[in-house]
Amino acid sequence: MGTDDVPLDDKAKRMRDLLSSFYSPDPSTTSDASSKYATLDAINTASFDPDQYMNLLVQKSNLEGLLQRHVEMAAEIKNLDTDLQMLVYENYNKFISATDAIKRMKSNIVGMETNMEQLLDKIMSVQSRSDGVNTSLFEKREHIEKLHRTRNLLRKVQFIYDLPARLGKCIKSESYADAVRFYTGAMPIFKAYGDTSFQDCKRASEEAVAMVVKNLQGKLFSDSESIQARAEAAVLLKQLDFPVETLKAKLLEKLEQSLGDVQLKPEDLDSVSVESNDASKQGADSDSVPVTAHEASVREFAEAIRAYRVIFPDSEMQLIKLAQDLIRKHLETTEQHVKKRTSSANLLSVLRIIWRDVLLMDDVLHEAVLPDFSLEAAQIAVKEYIISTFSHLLQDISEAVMKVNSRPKDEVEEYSLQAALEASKKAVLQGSMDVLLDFRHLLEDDDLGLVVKLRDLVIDWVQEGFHDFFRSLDQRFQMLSGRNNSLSHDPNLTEGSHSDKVLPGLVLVLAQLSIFIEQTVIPRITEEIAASFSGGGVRGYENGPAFVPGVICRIFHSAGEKLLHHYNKMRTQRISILLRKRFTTPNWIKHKEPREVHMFVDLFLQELEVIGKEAKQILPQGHLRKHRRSDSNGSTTSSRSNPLRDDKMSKSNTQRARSQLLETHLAKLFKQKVEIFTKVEFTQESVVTTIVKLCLKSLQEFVRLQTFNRSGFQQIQLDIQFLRTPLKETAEDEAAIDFLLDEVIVAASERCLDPIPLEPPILDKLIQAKLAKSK
Amino acid sequence: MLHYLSGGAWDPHDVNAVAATCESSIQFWDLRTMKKANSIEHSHVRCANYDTKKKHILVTAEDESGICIWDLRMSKVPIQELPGHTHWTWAVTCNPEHDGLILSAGTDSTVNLWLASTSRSDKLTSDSPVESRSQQFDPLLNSYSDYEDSVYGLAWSSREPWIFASLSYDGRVVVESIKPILSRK
Repeated sequence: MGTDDVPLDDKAKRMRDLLSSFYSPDPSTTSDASSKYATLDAINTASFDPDQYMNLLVQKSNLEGLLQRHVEMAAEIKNLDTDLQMLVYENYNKFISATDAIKRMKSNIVGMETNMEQLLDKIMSVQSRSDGVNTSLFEKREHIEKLHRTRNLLRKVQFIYDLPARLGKCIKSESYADAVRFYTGAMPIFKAYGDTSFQDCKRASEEAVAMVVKNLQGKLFSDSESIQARAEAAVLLKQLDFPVETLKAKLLEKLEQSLGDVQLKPEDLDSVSVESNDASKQGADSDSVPVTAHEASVREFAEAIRAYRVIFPDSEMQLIKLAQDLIRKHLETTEQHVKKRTSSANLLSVLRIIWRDVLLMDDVLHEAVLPDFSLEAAQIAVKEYIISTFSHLLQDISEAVMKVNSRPKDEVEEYSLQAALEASKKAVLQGSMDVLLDFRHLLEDDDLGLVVKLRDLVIDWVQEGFHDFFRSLDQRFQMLSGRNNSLSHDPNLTEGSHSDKVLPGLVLVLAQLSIFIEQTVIPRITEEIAASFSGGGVRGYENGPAFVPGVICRIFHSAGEKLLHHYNKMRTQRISILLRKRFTTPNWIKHKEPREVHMFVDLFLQELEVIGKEAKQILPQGHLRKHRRSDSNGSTTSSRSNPLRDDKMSKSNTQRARSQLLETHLAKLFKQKVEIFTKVEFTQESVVTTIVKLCLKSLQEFVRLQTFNRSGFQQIQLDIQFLRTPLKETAEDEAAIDFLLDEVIVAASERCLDPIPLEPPILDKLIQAKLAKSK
Repeated sequence: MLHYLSGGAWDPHDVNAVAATCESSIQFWDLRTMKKANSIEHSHVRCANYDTKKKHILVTAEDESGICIWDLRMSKVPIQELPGHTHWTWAVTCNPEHDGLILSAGTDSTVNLWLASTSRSDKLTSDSPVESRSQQFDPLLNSYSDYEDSVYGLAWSSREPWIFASLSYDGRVVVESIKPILSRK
């Protein structure tokens, strides 16, 4: 049933509705909801009709329900009454208290009005009285004010009239600040009335101010004043509208000029001695004088910078530039200096001086970042030094080697090559060691902060320097020997530069020197570098060390070999010119009977002697000497040339030729081949033997190009027989020499129309005759 | 006044040009004008041979200096110089098919096979001083030493470009093929 399930929220709703209906009666809202529906809930609505309600109730519920409803209704009515009463009481309390409050307020205010009226009266009277006083005093006051103004004006005028005197006093007492203040205070008046009323004053004060300005300028320029005073002077000058900028520019110019005094001069650098850090070297006073003078001037410079920083606060950029210029100029001078020959100690002391200056100025001018700047520039200087040291070493070695060319006439010619070789060996080895020692000094200096930072770079540079140095040494050797035609396609380089101007002795010296470098110098240097210059390089491990001894050794080994070959070639060329002339000039077909041994053998032997002498001076001796064979005579016993013996006049030419050929082939099968073209070694014997062999081969080839008659053939036989003994003495490989000489005779016989050799007795007689003549 | 004329060669690219080797120079004659067109002054040239593939390339054999390759347009300095032989280089001939293959015969009883670059630009790059870590290009491909005496005659086969014949003083003729060398290269 709808009415039974109302309990709690129904009560609350009722309360709310009661309150709202009491305070804001709005029947329309509440009645609209349930007006249509006639339910039992209509009891709460405004459109409550008791009859209708009762009818409904009777209809809907039974007797028990009705009775229950009745009881409930009574209870509710009671509740409602109590609630109503409560509400009323509450509100009633409030109303009562409000009324009490109003009563009290009223009682308070009752007396207020009268008080206010009294106050008003009193004030009115006061006002009227003060008005009276004011009016009576008004005229007097005006008068006083006028006088006051006049007085002020007069004071000002007085001030202006006194201004020159006052300025003068200020000038005398040197209180320029006051003077400036006075003047600037008077400036407006001068501007306004300067031309009309105050001309004299203005002029006088302007004179005075000019004097002030002059004094202030003087103060600014003078170095003896304190920095504060000069700063003040600058500020005052600015207040006087004086163009301080020009002053600043002038001062900075002066400073720049004084830079010239501060700079290191090259002459000073030369005289900078090896100065240890402790200054207790009295003996070196004369040398250290230029150094300390320099130091003093640098200190002055630093002080000046500090002063100017304070005086001209915005001149920092220019000062920084000046300081950097100074350091840069120092280092440029150093760079120039290291191009000459100096030692590392000298360089170190110079760097020390520069570093000291840098530190001095860094105190004053931090923003210039002078240490870093100087570090960069010092890197360049040190690198230059290293490079120039190497180029000087190269120069030294070249000079030592070139001594071969200059032979003083009174000296014994024999030993000049040897002397040159020794000198150049020494130059290379000693020079490199000295250079290394020098560089080690650079590294060992721990005091100089500049150098310590550069240590890694120095190590790298030294290693790279040696690597490049040896490469350029190799190229220099190539150039000196005239063999650099492969490197330059310069059309100006004529072929004449090959062998005309270059002495063969020089080439041999260079060859031996290359081998010496490869075998001795490089290992020594590698040791030294490993001892002092290893580790700590800047190059990463991927790049490997900068100085690779293996590569250099290989370069010099191949260079030595090439130079040796070149020497051989040069000598052989000379001899083959001689031989060519010998064989192409005479008419061999119509040659006369051989009377004597031809003189070309003398020239030939002479050349061989020269070669032997040169080789002896420069190259070492070989290992073992082959023991001699017994001498053979003109018609040889070697089976190769046997056919000569067997030629019978009876056989025809072709038959003879054929049998010869067959026999030579057969002989070759059983005979061991004689090696003619062997590799040349770095020994005296090897070089001489190789040259002899090549010349004999050329001789054979020349012979093959000619055609001989019998006398021509016999002449050849005679010459060769004569050469046999001396050649076997000079050369080492006797079997080859014999073979070659026999080959020449065979070639001549094959080219001869009528190869009948000389009889041995005649041969011997002619040879003895020649030997007798040459003695 | 002509000195000894010791040899000559026809220019395969120009019907009217012929080269003649004298004592100390190579002279080039133009047959239309019958005048000397050009000459290279050098040491004793023994044999000259034109390159059949490229124009203006001449290969010469010299007694002392070995083999020179010349570009006739720039005839002051040879493009390349090969070492030649231990003694004299007697004859030199270019392979008709393969550019740059040169055979040389010498009095040291060997025949050498060379691979040379016949243009100037190749030469420059290969001769620039490099670190020895990279192998320097060795022009000598092979050396045939089957001979007992000096080799005086040399010729490429006109049918097979890989076969050559050589003649030495003792009458030995050696016919060789360079194919195995080329396949190795």
